[in-house]
Amino acid sequence: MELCPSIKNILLLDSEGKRVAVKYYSDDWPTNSAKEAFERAVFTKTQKTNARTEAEITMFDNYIVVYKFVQDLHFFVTGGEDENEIILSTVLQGFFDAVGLLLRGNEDKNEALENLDLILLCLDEVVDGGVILETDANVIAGKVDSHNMDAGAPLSEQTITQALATAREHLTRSLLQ
Amino acid sequence: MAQPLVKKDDDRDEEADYSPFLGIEKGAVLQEARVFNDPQLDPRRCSQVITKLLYLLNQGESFTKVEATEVFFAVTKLFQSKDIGLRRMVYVMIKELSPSADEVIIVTSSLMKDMTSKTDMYRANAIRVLCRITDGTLLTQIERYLKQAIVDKNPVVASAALVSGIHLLQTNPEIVKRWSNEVQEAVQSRAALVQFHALALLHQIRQNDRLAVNKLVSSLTRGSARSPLAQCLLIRYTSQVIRESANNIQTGDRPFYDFLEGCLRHKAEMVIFEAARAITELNGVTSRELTPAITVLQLFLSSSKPVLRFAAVRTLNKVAMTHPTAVTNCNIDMESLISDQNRSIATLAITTLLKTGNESSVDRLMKQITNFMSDIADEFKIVVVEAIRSLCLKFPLKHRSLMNFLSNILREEGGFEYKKAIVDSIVILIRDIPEAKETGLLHLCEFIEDCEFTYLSTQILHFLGIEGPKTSDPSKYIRYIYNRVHLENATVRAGAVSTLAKFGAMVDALKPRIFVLLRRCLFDTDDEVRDRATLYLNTLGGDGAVVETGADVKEFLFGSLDIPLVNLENSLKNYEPSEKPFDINYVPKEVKTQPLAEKKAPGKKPAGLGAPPPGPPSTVDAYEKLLSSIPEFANFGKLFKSSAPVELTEAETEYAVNVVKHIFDGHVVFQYNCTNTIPEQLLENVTVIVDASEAEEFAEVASKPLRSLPYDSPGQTFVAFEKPEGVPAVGKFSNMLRFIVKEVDPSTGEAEEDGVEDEYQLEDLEVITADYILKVGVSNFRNAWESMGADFERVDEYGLGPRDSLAEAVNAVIDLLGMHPCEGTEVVPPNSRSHTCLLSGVYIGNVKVLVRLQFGLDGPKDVAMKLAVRSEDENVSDAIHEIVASG
Repeated sequence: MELCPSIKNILLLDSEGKRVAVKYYSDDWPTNSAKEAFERAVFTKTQKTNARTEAEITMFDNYIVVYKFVQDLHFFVTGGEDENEIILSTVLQGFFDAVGLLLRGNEDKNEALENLDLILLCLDEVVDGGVILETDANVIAGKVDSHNMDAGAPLSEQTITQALATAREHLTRSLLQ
Repeated sequence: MAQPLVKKDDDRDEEADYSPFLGIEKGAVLQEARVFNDPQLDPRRCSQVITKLLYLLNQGESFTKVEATEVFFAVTKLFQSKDIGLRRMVYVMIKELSPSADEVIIVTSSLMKDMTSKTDMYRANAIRVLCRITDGTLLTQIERYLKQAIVDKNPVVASAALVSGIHLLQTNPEIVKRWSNEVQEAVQSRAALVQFHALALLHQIRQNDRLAVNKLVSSLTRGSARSPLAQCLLIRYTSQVIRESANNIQTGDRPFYDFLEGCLRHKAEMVIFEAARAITELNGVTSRELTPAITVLQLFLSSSKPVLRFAAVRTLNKVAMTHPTAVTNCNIDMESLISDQNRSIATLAITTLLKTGNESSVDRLMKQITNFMSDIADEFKIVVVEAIRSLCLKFPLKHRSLMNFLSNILREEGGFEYKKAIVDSIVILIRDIPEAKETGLLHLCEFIEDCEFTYLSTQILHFLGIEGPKTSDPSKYIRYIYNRVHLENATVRAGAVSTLAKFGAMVDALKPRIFVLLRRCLFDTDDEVRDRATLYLNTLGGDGAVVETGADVKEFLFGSLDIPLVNLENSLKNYEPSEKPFDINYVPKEVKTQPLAEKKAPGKKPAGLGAPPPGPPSTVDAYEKLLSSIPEFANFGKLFKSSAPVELTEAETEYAVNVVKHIFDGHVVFQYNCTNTIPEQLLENVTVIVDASEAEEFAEVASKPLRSLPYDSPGQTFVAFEKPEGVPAVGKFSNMLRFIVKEVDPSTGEAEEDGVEDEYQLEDLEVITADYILKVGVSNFRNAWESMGADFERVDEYGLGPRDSLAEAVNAVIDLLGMHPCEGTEVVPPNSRSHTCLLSGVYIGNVKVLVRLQFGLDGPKDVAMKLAVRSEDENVSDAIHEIVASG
């Protein structure tokens, strides 16, 4: 019997159910199509609910899913049917708030994709192989951002090559559009 | 509620679809990854490329082996950079790539350097990465550092090592177990999460040592001020200890209950809930123990957080199944949850109320549910329908309002599964509550007037044919049925024709009208419909004369097919066209027991209209074929039953022998399946010498030796006995395997000319009364029981003595009788003090037997049983009692 609380997956989807970032910790969904099917099911089941002030919860296919939305971002945490619902929601809240801190309050899909590295590191700090690593949003965000101060530094402090690289990138991006 | 859709559409053109990863393509990103090889690394750019690679993986893209290897080697170059942010991304990337063993070696030294670094973040992450990708051999090299890390003063490093330990315990338990001293120390850590991880690991290390777990729990439950997650773990471990020490709970207080109760006053909600749930799940929990847990759950019911409400109502719902009265206090809070925004919560609240409600509250409850049903999904509706069905069976007096409710929702929109659940429920109510019959049938009639599901229409028509003619005014159903002949597809039309015929057969007054209707069906466009009409007109004497319907006609129309359909299908497949017509009486009736796993399938509902699940193909046919091919046994008649093979040798002996008992009316044939497991031997002329001195009623009549038994190819030898006809004679037989053994040259495989006679002692074999009972199920036990009548009923009570559990006693009796458990009654719910089990079977001589077993716990462990038997023959009823009395 599994006694240690375990997380099956953490999903961050957009307002159309597409992946922003997801992380699976269990073998319940062996293939990418199984994962996508699960995400679709979760998304359609929850999209009409209001999970903006308090985290909401649902149960299906013997999984418990807690979720919370902000702007066009949908956060989900899944656990087994015997899992303590409140533990799952604590994990969700920790992840949700940490992302909010890392995106400095601009929680929307664009901002999340722009800072996908932070989101991925954040996922990495919340759960390790299904075991809960940390649930305190400040600690999580702190761990992710501790080294990242220079990234947000003003342009003047960047080296010439870095500035050039940034400029080139912006140019290619605008050309691609 | 839903977010404003309009706004999204407005944004779409300008920026909604904009993404930094727009137009990203795997090949291009892999090209970009070449920057990892630059002598002058640009950390920022490298980070971006890694992010892109991770984005691709995250979107479900996969790298080929070659691509992955290339990326991996490139990424390892990045260890040269001192940039912390880049290093973090490198760690994540390596974990995602899950490199192979020979690749791991490349990064090992870099990671080991990071593991001993002064930077906490490096140490923590390097440990996690290394433990994720490493194998056992490497682990011994880094073990020293890991042990240090467990007691590191930085909590992040300690947690990283502990969590890695939890994962490694699965693959390298012997190494991780050596760390228990360090882990033990970490349990005392001040850092909340370290304590949690250490406790989880320590318990997993010791989980097989019951005494150590006991000690761990008793020492920790005395302490306090633990992190909520660690406290939850402790609660789980405590309830496990309570469960395992369940043997000594009869006296007074349960150990550790006080600890659990104390946790109900913890400040963290997750701990309060974990403790409350643990208490409700205690084995044989008393209402005094339950009360404090229910009280905190009740508080959660009115919380502003949906998660708390859900958790509480879900737990209370489970409690309501075993202790409905304990939950009634929460009914008022529960009723307000019916209008909860979250439909999962609302459904759980409703079904809980339906379980705990009393007769007087039913009407009010139904009113509330009616409003609620329209806005929930089908899957929730099915749950509600099932709850209402059990409520109706509980309060039969309320059938009117409940039946009305079911018929109302039957008329509304819904999918097949939902409609089927409703129809099944109505059918069950009609069967079990006689007063509900007529209204129920009319509801079903109205439903088929406008039913889009062929399956349901035909099932209902069939049911109408059986129940309709027995009502006070059968004529009122005719219109509904005949309408089907006009308006439906061929399958339903054919079903309607059969139903009409049944009314004609049962109700003489209706016969002329039925004949008119059936004759009209003779012009149907469909063959099957016409054929059925013709057949019924002829069997019912449709030449105009109204005659009493003969018994065999009734049997033909109403008699149930008492043969499993699978068996019939097999027999028909095996039938070869010949002069001899196919005889349905030769189809085996034995229902093969299904594997347990299948029985436990989620849909364990009482069977409604649905056909019984098809069993796997039986081996009975194979036996029958085999036996009838042996001339000595050809005149024994029809095979009544073949037992499961009984082993007569220990596993891994020189010769493996098992026996199958074939029971005929006046004979018993033992089929010995022999296997020779010695490559250097060939056995010839193999027989079994049976000593029947302890089986007086049996006399050996024939035996069929096995000519040759080479290595590893099984063969059979048979011995046949005569016994008094139709009598369940029992006895004990001792067996001796006798054969001629010849040496075989292993190189050539040639056997020597001369052999030596030898014998080999086998275990004894018994023929018991259960061998004379066939497992044959009935579809509706209650009906069968009543129609059997009490003429040959025998009732008696038995004490079964001390047993491990009620379930064990029930299974023992089922095995003893060898009968078929009906309606899932072989499953004993946990914690129950009494149980009723229904069995059916056919006794030799084709005598149907039904058994009702009522078990009760008498004192702490003693099981008492009341056995009621009904059969078509009083001797058989007595015989069943004799089996139990002597077993």
